[in-house]
Amino acid sequence: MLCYKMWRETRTRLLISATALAWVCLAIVLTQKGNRAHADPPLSYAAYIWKAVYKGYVRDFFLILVIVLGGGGILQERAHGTAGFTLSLPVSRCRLTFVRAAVGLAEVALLALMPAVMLGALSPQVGESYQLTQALRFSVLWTMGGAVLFGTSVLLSGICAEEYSAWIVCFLSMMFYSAAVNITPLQRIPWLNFFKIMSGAEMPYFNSADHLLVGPLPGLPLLILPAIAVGFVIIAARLSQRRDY
Amino acid sequence: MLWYKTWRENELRFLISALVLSGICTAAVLFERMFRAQLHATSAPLSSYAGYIYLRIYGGFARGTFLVLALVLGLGGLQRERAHGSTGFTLMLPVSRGRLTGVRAAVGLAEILALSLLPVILVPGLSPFVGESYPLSQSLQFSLLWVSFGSVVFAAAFLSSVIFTSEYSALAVSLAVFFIYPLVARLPPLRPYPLHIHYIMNGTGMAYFDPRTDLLVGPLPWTVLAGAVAITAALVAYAAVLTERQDF
Repeated sequence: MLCYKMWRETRTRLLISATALAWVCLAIVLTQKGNRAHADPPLSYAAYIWKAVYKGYVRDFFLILVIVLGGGGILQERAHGTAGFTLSLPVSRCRLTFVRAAVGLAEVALLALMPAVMLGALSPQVGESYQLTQALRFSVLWTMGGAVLFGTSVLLSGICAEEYSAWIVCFLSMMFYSAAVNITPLQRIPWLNFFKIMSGAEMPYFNSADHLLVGPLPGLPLLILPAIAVGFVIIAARLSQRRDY
Repeated sequence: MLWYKTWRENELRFLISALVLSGICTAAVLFERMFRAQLHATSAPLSSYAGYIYLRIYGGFARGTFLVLALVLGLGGLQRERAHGSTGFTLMLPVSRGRLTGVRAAVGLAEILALSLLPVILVPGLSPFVGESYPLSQSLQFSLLWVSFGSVVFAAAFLSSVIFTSEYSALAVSLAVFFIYPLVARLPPLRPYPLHIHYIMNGTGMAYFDPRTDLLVGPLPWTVLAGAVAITAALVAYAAVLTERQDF
């Protein structure tokens, strides 16, 4: 029932996010001919999809929507006056946080599948094809990368009482992290950049000539990224345990 | 007092936004040597300080951040107060709902204006400290573009916060429109028209922007700016009409 409660509280956000992501993918696929022709040199369909979806615009949009999915929690319910009802449920505060995180992570995974679904369905309509296995592998990478940001959002929602402040702080954290791993000496270590892990840029499992994922996905980063997310959720759970609502 | 109440409700978001935008502009100017060296390594060398400032602030990172912050500043309002259970107190005030909406919009737009003026103060003000200079007139013109289209983004988020009862739904819808709109503006039938707010704000492909010097030249598109103001006013007015009719 707790899962169902969390699902009911977040399903509208997920629906809006999934619809928006679908629309963006639709626009990108439908305008592929003109956009590819304007590029210098002209791009293959795989290259175009990688640049537009998996490396660029759609990836950033996905991450911003993941932050929205991570918002909410008991602290925000306090402002609504419903924290008392939630806290009176016969479950620990930790369990409340973990179940919310689990439902949210499942939603992040669902959202990460949207490009795979849309590309698979729409590419034949424009006379192109994109390998489903490629799209699904990128979905796995996106889920892992999105999990980190989702965990950050859950943590910050447990610290900042105002919903929009939590979102701004999380969004800005993402931007400063991006600046740190792209501008400072940290840029020499691509594995520290989860944006690059998500897109495959400069990674050994990505072929930059074909713009396709090759070989096995990286096992260690795919363990570390969700571990970081879980760590953030655990901290959020501990904070909620100690807080006086 | 209504203005003060509205300001207090938005204060934290505005201060975070101002801090962040100031930080970005200050860092871009004070660490220009490091960032320019880093840019030289990854792209064509920037021949001028103006080109660097354009790339980092007016055409890039800072502009995108400003627009997202403008979006978030537009959220809130009576629907959010309803979720918090405080609508009754607000609606009991001896002012019309139209006035409540109008004051919230006015305070928000003033905050957008303040944010858009930060680069005007910081970029020309701090550039001498790194041995460079940036024309104040350029900053002012870019600020005018920023405030015009930042207001449109603000007004769109403002309207969505009136329509949607859940804060996160309003945020998700606003972000969705923010990301989908530029793609729609680039569709072939619409491409000839000045509808792409990012290109208008940073001058890409526009007659009033010289890509060789990365400076604004000639008159700004006053008709387009007037259109942006009109759209802002229309969105806010519609939000006020909806608020009048809603049952809280």
